[in-house]
Amino acid sequence: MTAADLARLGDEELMAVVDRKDPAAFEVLYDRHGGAAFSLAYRIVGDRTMAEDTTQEAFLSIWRSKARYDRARGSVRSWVLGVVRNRSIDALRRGGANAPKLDHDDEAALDVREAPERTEAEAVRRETSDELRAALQALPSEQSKVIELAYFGGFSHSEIAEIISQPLGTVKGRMRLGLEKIRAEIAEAITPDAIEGLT
Amino acid sequence: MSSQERQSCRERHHDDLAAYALGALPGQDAAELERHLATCSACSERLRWLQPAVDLVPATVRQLEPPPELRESLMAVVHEEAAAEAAPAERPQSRERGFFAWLRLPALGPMRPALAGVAVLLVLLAGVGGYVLGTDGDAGGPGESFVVTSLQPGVAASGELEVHDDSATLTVQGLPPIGGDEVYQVWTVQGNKQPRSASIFVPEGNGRASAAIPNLPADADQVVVTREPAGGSEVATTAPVLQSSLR
Repeated sequence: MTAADLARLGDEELMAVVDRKDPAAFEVLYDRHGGAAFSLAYRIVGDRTMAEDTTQEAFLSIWRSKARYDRARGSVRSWVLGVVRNRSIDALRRGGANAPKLDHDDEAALDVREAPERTEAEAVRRETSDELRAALQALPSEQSKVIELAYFGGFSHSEIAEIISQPLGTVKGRMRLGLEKIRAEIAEAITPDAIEGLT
Repeated sequence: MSSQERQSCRERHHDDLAAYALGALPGQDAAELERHLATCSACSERLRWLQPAVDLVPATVRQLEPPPELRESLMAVVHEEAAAEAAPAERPQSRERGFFAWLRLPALGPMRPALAGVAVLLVLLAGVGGYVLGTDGDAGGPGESFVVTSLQPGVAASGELEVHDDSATLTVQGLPPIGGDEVYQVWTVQGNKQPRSASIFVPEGNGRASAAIPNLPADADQVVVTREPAGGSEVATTAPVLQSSLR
């Protein structure tokens, strides 16, 4: 299968070729999702070198079939980012980090460049990402905080309750309300195509 | 499920479902919820409804450009492992020895044996000419430097291979420029074993380049460099451009 053939495959079809240990297919997979993976890893660990290491570990785990894609659990992109998230949180814990990285100052990271917009699709993705970030920030702070602590910090609900000095029931309620708002107000405001592109 | 049961289920599990979707439910609680999900279609449906919201959270992250070195090192490992997996099937067919036993020159056809013979002679000559720069002749130890010589007539490329424990750094100058669809690929050679891809690199406009060899086998005999298609090859497809003898 030529590089052009591989580039035309959808993510799920591409994963079937990756599972057959085709390096060219894996390269296409990385080119599609490597940027989002590195960005997420950097958001979680807050360190360029550690983000590179965890991104590489995550993709090698996918290549070595230690992580298996299950289409029932969502898109390939969501699955890849889930693997990256788990690796990043593991790396954060191995590094002895005990404080959540809630608010990285991306502008201060002079050695990390923002991704250029090479295609119209990437420009749309960037714009949608900006809208989503603004929308998440527009949630009541107590709701966005528990969501960020859980997703980017990897904390359990009881750890979050301890961190923010609130009862467990309050933490769980804020998670539910926050996700419901994102689901009802944000996800539905974005076109299905844009969501597919993002996830 | 009656409406009363549904209401009871909602009150009992919906907060947990959000925590579960975010990965914030501890192991035992998560296992208990999963057992419930296996029997409760309403909660399963609710979880499916919530999941896109969770999937959108990473999309809120500011998008950054990963460094090109990350792609290079990742793909070098992937190509190496793919080549190693393919190797057992190829070995019995090979009657040649050393680096050239693994050289794939599909376009050369009948010329391949003759070219390989010339290249072997060049390797031998280079081996005689090569010597250890940083020691009195004890090859292979940490912190040693080895000369890198050109194997192509008319190409005045040269350089140095610095070995530190189980890694090395290759520094060269005078390399011919290559097209955007090509890379230089570094291989480590151990006797008759299949050469292992170590890294790929593209020289600067002035012909200078450096490449890291992160895992130099202790019993490596040589390090060679070939020109390969962009992204590198699983098995070398061209005759070596550069060589450094470690023995």
